[in-house]
Amino acid sequence: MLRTIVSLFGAAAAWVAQMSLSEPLAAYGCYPHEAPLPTPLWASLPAILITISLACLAAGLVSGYIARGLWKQAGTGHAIAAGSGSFDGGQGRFLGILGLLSSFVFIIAILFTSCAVILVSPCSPWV
Amino acid sequence: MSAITRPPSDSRLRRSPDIGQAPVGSDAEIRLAEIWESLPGWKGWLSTVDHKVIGLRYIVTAFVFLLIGGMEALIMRLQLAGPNLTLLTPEQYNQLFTMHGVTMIFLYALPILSGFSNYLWPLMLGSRDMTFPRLNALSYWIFLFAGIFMYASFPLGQAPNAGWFNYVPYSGPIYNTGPNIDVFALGMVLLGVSTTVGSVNFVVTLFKMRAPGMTINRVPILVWGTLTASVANLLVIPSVSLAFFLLWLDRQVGTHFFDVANGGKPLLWQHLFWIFGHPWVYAIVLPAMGIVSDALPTFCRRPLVGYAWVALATMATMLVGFEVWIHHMFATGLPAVALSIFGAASFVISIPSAVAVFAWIATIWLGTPVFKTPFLFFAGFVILFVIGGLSGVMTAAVPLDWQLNETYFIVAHLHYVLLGINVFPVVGGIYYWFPKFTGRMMDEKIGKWSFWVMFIGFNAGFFPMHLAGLLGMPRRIYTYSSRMGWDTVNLITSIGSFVFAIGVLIFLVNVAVSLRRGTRAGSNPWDAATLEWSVPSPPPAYNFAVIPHIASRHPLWEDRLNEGEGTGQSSLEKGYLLMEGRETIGTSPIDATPEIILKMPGDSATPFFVGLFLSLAFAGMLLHWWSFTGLMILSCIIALMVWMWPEKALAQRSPTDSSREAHV
Repeated sequence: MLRTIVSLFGAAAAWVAQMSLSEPLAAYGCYPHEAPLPTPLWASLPAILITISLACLAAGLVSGYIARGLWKQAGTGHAIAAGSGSFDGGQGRFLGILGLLSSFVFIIAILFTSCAVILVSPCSPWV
Repeated sequence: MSAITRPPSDSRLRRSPDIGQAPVGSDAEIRLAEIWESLPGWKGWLSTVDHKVIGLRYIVTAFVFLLIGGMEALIMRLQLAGPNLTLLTPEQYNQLFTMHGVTMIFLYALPILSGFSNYLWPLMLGSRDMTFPRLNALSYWIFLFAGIFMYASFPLGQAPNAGWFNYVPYSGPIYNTGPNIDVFALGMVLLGVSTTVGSVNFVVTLFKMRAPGMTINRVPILVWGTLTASVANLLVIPSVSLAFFLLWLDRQVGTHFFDVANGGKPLLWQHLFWIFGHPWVYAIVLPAMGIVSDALPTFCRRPLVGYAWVALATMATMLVGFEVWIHHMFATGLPAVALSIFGAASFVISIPSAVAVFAWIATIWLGTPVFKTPFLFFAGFVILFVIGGLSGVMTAAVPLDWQLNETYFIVAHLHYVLLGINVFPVVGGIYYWFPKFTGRMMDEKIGKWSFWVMFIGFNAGFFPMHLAGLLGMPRRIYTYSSRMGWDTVNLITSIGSFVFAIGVLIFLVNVAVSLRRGTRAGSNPWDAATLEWSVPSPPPAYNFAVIPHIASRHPLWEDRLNEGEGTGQSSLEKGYLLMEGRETIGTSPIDATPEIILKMPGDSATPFFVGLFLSLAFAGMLLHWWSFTGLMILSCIIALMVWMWPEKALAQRSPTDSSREAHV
């Protein structure tokens, strides 16, 4: 059951964590009080943001790996412990595919967000 | 195949459910009808908790609000048809565009989808009602009262006037001294109660009320869409309710949550509002996309391509939608990387959206399309979805958004998204399910006229708005100079909007004509695949004479698709009879194995009175009648106690050991 939940929501949770950590840090680092700053409050802000992105990407990949395992397991006919497991109407395989697709979409989302972190300077240089 | 699995907990509450058949006209069927039908007359009208009646009430009420909002739009388009017109004063224009937005977004777009889902869910899921029928009725009554509440000040010329997203400080006590904003603020908190209880009902219904055998991979996409929207609502409604309550406190109690001069933060409003606002946008389109995903395959004579992909796309869109609210705040001065993170997230939404679009196109491409009226509306929706989606991707780019922000380009985008993705599927859905609702078919010839007039009018009306925006026309201006170069696009937009209105009028004529003279419909006039088409049109009060057993995603197409192999075919005629009072079966969340006999409450007027007293309490707060407010809250508590008073007959029953072994 835990593996199913991780495969379905692991990458999504990693992406949400990336967003929820990066956004306030970036916003506060460049606009801590009443006026915006041309450079971050902390010199290491870009490194912190990249570290967060890498950690979240790793978590997303782990989720994807687990999802792939579950999907392959369902494909070979082994039941996935989704519910009571009393009979298989295809729900195990469906959850396996759903986990795989979910991990794929949210790993892409983590990469997109990482691009924003890597390619854009943290604070507005014209301030 | 399905065995009841949960062990009985209390021996006094054990029971063996009968398994059998109850054909129309049999003693069992007659008894079921007596159990489930509401009383005739006004008492039954006021107290019914039948999900079908509530669903239709939602649809009719929301459509009335659509017509009111549409008329407001037409008056605005008359004002903007040419330069320097004086049909409306600036204040009247403010109130009209605000009420237009409030009406369309809060009183039409989600409630009408709630109507579809309320009507269709139990029929699609093979249940006899929603999990909480009285809560369902409460949800409707509060929605109705909240709508009336928000319109109460309109005839007095004191309607909300700060736009549907009601930015502070303009909506604060310094710049907006009348009751306009207080009506909006309290009305939104009241409406939030309706949406919340409705959402709880949908979530629990999906996970507890599916027919045995309807495993999680067999539910219709409309169910996925409404589930996703409901979960989102449960998470974000508190944000907007809090925002409006804090604003009301600022205005009436003298707090300073949004008051800059006293340390308040206007951006707090924008965050609280858009944390709610953007997921809400998806909440009002995902169920509509579900309507298309479920109904389009009927007219393509094949199952939806990529069911798992579309189900995932539905949920992923919503999940991503939680993390994009700042793209409504790109021009607020936030740091560059903070904006870019949300810009990137906004681009991500194009992935699940594209998945859904390609699934619909592939379904049409690989199928054998039958060009009936609902198909035209669904195909038209796909085109409008693509146009609205593309302009959405454009505005996800921060630099371009800064150029387009607060121009008519945004108005064009949001109308393509909200009208195109909501109204077209809704009207197509009404054409599709009208035979189920009423037992009569709608007229095809008038239907096709209504589609083409609406489609042409819509595009003539809203596409030029893109150009107006690119020409620099700001939104929310009540008039403009003839030297701005906006005359032609505005005239075309106004003409298009009236053509669109004529299309809606043709649709309404079709409804009126078909209600009286439409051809009688059988149980499955479209030869559709899903479970609601297995019951008579209109469905009986009890929905299913026996609880069906489901063996595939397309129970009515199993023969032609060779589905159900290995698990047997669906059993629609024979199943649990359950007729000792209002009863249905409760099943497990993923596998849909039967677990419990659910005793459903009967009709009651208490939801109406709870809704009424709660609304009157809000009216008392608006008018500062504090004693009256207290009295209404007390009345509300008493009505709730009457509602919740324990009844022996409603104790849930655990099936006995012998019946647990029974197979349907």
